[in-house]
Amino acid sequence: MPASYFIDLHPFSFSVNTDLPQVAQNLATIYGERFKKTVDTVDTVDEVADYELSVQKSSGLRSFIRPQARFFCDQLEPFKPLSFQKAYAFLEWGMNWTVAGNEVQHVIIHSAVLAKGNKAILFPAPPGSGKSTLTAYLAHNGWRLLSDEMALIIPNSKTVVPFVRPICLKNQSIDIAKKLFPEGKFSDIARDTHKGDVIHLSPPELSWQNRTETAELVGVVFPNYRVDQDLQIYQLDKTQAFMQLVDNAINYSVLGGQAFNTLTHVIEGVQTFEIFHNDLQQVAEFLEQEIIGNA
Amino acid sequence: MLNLSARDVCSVYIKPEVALAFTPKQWQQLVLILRHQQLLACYSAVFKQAGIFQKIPQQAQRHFLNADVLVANHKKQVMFEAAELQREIGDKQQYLIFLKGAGYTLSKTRVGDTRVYNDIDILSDKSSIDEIEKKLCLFGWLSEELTEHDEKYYRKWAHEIPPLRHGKRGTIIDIHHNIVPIISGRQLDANQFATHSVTTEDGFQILSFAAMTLHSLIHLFFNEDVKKGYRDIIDIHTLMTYHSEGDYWQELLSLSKETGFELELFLACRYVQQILKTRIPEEITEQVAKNIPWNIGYLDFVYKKVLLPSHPSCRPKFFALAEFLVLLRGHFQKMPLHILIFHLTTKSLVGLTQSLLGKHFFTKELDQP
Repeated sequence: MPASYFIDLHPFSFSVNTDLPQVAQNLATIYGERFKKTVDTVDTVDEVADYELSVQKSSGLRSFIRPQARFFCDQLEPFKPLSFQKAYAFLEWGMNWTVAGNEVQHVIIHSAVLAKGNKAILFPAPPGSGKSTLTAYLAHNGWRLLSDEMALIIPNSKTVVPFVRPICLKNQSIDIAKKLFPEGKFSDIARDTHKGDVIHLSPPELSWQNRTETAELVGVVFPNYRVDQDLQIYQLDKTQAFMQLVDNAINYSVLGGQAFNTLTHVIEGVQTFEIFHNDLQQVAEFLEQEIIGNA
Repeated sequence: MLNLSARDVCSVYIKPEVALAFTPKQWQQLVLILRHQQLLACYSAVFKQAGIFQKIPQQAQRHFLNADVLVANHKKQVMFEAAELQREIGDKQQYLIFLKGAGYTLSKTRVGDTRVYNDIDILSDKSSIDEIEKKLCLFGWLSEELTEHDEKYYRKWAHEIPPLRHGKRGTIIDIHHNIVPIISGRQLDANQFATHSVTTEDGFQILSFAAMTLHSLIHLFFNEDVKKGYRDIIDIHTLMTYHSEGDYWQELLSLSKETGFELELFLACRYVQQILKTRIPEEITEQVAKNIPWNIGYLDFVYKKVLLPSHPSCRPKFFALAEFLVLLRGHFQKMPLHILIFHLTTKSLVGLTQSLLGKHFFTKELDQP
């Protein structure tokens, strides 16, 4: 019998139906008190979900032979099923898909956002750039995580609305992160996904506690991890930075002019850098002194 | 908590104020049902028109606002695709008429205001179809891989060629040479039907409002698939209510007679009146009532269920049975018995395997969310 859960993730909320115990377990690990079992008898106002998601076992013989997990957003099944052990990661991606496809009140950028106080830096980067490792490091060293994957910017402003979710680490970064943050709350590893092995890491309490506090962008930094590269910093000109932001803006074409204006406004009002590094601490120092300190 | 019924969802369309008494959970359910039916933007417009949009609870309001943005973008995309098609094949045929959703959108009138759909339908003369398909292929529109049976079904029996998908943009177009399947024996003179068209101020050919209405109701009552039945009912209601100036009704009546779809017109009038309280001139209601069929009790049983907003959370009793009966009716109308049996056997073997072994038994695992 599938159980129903509720996850309150400002500014969106989800109900999750699942018959897979490992999904519920991982959700509890990652989301802590934000995650609860739905009480069906009481009509509580705070449990009204924006989206009804479910992760279910494939039916028929398929539930015995190499069982698969299926993801649904209400009645829609946008993806082909995945093997069982990826079920929780599948749900996380499904949540991203749901938000990306439906929510257009913000300009959404595929990017991490971290803040000191209310000054935030945007880290848009393609997979493999070491963005999530940097995110995890900063979040565990005095920074506040607003997003790991989806930055929500209020149109025509530099204000970022937090959408606190776990940090998605891949392949080698899994071991690094487990060493760096022994106290971290990790999900199970989803092996052999399209991104390789994947694990989710819950951000520290500071990020959760401030998950309704917006922050103002002061910088955009494109990080690149290179094993044999000492810290190098390049100031990006506004045009380059703008184009790179556009490439990472998920709903750019849907929002059209509004997205253009917003990104222009952001780029004109912040410092923009591309960095190459092999030392997270050096990066953190640079960010604090040069960007946060000067903003 | 009290679940909304499908009827409640209709009531909101007719009298939006009733929704203001909903609990937050009921709003959540309404949003869910409407999103499933692709009607969020439609209801958003209904609330705005009634002047009560600001009174909707914030959380629900956001979903309607999202839908407004998405529908505006959808319209923009359709205008773009239609212009592309016009440029690519505009000179290849006697006529190139945009049907259904695309036609509504291109009309830039109320019926297309909030309409969302997944593919663009076009009607063209049969003699030009081959050439159109070849030409479109050069522009990157390709047919997706079909099973042998499906390919044969389309080429021999259907009223359209297999859907074409644009390789880069992913847009799907359906090219028709008739509006009902050839195999049904009830195909109409498409070239004659195409004369009931107008050219929009942007230069696109679309059906006249009467012909649009007829096409919509044929599509609804001649089909085995009524998953979007409620949305179609809203289309027909909108056309009959807001686009029925001039000789609309006379054209609709005579066109239904010419093409032999008088029964379908009767059914459409009956159910829009019952479901959405559509105002139809009395003399028209009287005229179409002459076509009342002998098995109206049975049809009422079926259609009064399947034409309501459909979502697992609000399905009426015997919905599944009614849906199955429509499936049967649709198939019987479309194909002679021996072909129907062949078609259903082929289809059901796949279905049976899937139900026994799981829906995705044949699906290769593709790790691409």
